Amino acid sequence: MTVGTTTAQLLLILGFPLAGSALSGLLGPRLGRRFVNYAGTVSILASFAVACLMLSSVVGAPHGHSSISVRLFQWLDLGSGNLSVGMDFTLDPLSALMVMVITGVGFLIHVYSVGYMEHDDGIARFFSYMNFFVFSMLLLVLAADLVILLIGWALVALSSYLLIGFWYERKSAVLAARKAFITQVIGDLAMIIAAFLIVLHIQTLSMPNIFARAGAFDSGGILVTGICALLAIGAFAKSAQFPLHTWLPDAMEGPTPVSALIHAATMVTAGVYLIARFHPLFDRAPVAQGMVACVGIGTALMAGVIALNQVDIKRVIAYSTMSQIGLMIYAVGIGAYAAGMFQLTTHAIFKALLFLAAGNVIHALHDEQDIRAMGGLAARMRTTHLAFLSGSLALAGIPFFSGWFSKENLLGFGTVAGPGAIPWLLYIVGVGINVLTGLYAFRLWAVVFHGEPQTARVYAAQEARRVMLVPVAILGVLALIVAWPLQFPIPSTLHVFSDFLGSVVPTSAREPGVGLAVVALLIGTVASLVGAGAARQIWLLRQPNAAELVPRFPKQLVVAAYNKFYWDEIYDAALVRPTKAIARTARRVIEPDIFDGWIGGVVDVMRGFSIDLRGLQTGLIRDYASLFAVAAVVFVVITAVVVTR
Amino acid sequence: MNAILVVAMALTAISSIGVVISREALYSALSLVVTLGMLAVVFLLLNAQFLFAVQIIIYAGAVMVLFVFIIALLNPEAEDRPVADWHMTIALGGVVVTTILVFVAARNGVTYSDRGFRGQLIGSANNPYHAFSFPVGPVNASGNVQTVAGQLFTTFLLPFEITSLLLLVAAIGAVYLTRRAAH
Amino acid sequence: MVSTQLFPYLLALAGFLFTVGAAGVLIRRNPLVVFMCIELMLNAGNLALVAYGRFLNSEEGQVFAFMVIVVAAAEVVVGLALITQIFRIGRALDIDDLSEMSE
Repeated sequence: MTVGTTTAQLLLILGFPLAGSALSGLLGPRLGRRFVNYAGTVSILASFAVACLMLSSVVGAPHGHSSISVRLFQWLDLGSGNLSVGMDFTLDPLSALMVMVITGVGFLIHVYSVGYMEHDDGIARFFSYMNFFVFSMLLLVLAADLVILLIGWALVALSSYLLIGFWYERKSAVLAARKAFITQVIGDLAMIIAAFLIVLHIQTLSMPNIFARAGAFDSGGILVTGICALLAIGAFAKSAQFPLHTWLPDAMEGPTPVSALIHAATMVTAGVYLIARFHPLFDRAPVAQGMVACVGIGTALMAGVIALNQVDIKRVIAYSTMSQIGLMIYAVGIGAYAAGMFQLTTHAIFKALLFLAAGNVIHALHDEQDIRAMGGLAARMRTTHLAFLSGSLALAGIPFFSGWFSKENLLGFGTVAGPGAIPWLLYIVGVGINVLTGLYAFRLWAVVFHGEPQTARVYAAQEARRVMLVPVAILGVLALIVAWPLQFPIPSTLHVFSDFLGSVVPTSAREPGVGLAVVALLIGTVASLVGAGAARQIWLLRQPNAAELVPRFPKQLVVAAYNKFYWDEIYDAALVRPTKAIARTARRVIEPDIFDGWIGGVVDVMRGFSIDLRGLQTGLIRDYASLFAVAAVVFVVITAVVVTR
Repeated sequence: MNAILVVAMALTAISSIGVVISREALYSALSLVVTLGMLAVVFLLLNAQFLFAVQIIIYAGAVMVLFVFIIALLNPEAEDRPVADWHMTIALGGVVVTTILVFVAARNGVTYSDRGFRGQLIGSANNPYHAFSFPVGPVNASGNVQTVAGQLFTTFLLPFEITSLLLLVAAIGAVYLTRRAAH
Repeated sequence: MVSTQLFPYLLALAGFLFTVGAAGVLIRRNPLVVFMCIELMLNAGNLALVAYGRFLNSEEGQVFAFMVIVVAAAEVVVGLALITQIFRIGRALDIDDLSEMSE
């Protein structure tokens, strides 16, 4: 790849969505819906086309030369040996993969939104925000300088705020958007501190430089552990991991395409990408890695349990996302970077699929989202049902669907790699999560699409229009086949994917031996099937009330899970209320009495002074003459005193 | 000589008080005439003979006659009681203070040398009046009028001409101001 | 000859006349009387000038005093013309009433 063509590719990849955003936003209201529809979707398609070109040139590059950095311009230069920041971008396998996922899945989602938002008047604003989001995300993954990455990071948070709160007349939407943004800001803060620490130690924020000089950090030392921990906190905020996870379910207030794009395929995966990208630092901080792995698995478990108890179709899928991302975080936490990225890729496809299919259902039932009001939709929405089934099979990790390949690959590493003295402890939990995933995925499928229709709306439901159906169908097919040519969970068999990424993100975890890998594969597969089978048994065949679980579980746990383990309430009491109380005090006490008092006091003094001064102007000649006389005397005395000194 | 001067000075002071205190304008005018006359005497005793004449003719003569005419024309019996408010306090205070100050300043001798003005205390060793210890010199030797005229038409020619212009302007102005405007 | 010792008293008299005139300006309400007090002040200045001229052996004091007299005369003429006009249009001759200069 020559630098010239890569610069052009880069500018096009970034420029198309940005242009689409500007055109939709500025000209959209005037030029109408059709223009906006085309502008919004074609821009992403064009970006995808250039991304394919980029991918082909990355794949075709000779070994060892698959990374190219492009600098658009120098931004800040503090001299040699000091910080220098440029508009740097990197085109390598990792960024190429992310760009393909973002623009590819993004394009399908944009096409879908043409249909989903057809009755919404804010369509121009919608596509403007969506394109801007894609642009920000691309900026983030293409960045080769931590500063640029942080800019993309913050812009993504902004775009998500705009999109979650798209229906801004709804108070709940606005609150959800605010919550998401505030949580993101906490992560931003952590990342900026990490950037400061990096600069303090090695005076550079350019990622190639950081990675080349990673040896300057003591392995396992406090500094690098702190930096990685802070970066991980940023990743957790973006990827909705515990304890910064509370914003994701609320974010379902946004339109379904937004949930598909942001909360399934792209934004929440930024955290995984970050850790994978910064692997040279993470490899030197095993404590931080362990923390990441534990948080990932823990979140995955918690989210799985909650998902099992939710009754809003989008919330179930949202918690499912949280859980799957948890698995990815776990993967990059144990050093299996390629495995995590593989799961990221397949997950992007089947999760977007699930969201869009759910969108079809919601649209067909005229904005009904409670699964207790659904049922029996399989006969009425055949294609959507099949696609949803495909996505659920992939999600649960049923053999030969894409999710099976990626999840078993990931778990395979867990048998030998992991934090602490017993590395496979977390693997056991991961197997349990497989069961859970099967359970909630098929619970959802069964309750929504099978059984008796629970409300009248179901009888009137019709299959979605073509523009909403075709993307879903495409994703449904991809959810089955996308992993076939890429990777097989047994080492030394098919490993196209990990080779592809290996030049940039070498896996630092130990690979399990062939025998162990086969055993793990079987265990994982059995677990998924058990979960799926149990779900089928409970909800398809026996069909109890959908909100009920198997009666064995204690009621407290069920209620707690339904209430998301009360984390929102805890945060509200511990953080939100005190802050609001402080703000209220400031508004009621500090500002009126202290500040306004001071300012008012000054004003009153000046006013009083002016009023007194005005008393001088009586208009009487004699008064003025008296003043002259007094002043003259004073001047004479002063002069006499001064002169005779 | 000194005695006459002292008497003239005293009469000046007394009649000036009369100007201010008199209830009727006409009495004030008459007091002023006396004041001006006594001042003329003082001028005479200070070797300013030309000024003595001018003061009598112009000031105590023409100007005061004009004043008396206008008073008689406008409101001859008008009474004007001075208002005893804070203005009076300032006025009287100012009188006392300034008189004392001037006297003290003059008596202590503000002397002038190359380095500027200097103040001296009462009873200091230096002669506080050394600035004024020249003998009366040639200024008055050849007659006052001649000396003054000499200066007036040579060194001070320009101010002289300008003041004559000023007189002209004043006369025209007065005529203009008092004409009965045609309605 | 006049004694040099009297010089401070002459200055004191000039100061006295000046302040008495100023007091009159401040106290009296009849504009004519106020005018006369102004004349008194001018004369005080004249006295100071002449006194200094005498004791510094300079005739400039007298010349200057002459100029002052001329100017005072001109000023009296114009001022009295103004006062006459005020009387003619019917306003009271009271400077408190003639105070149009407020705000």
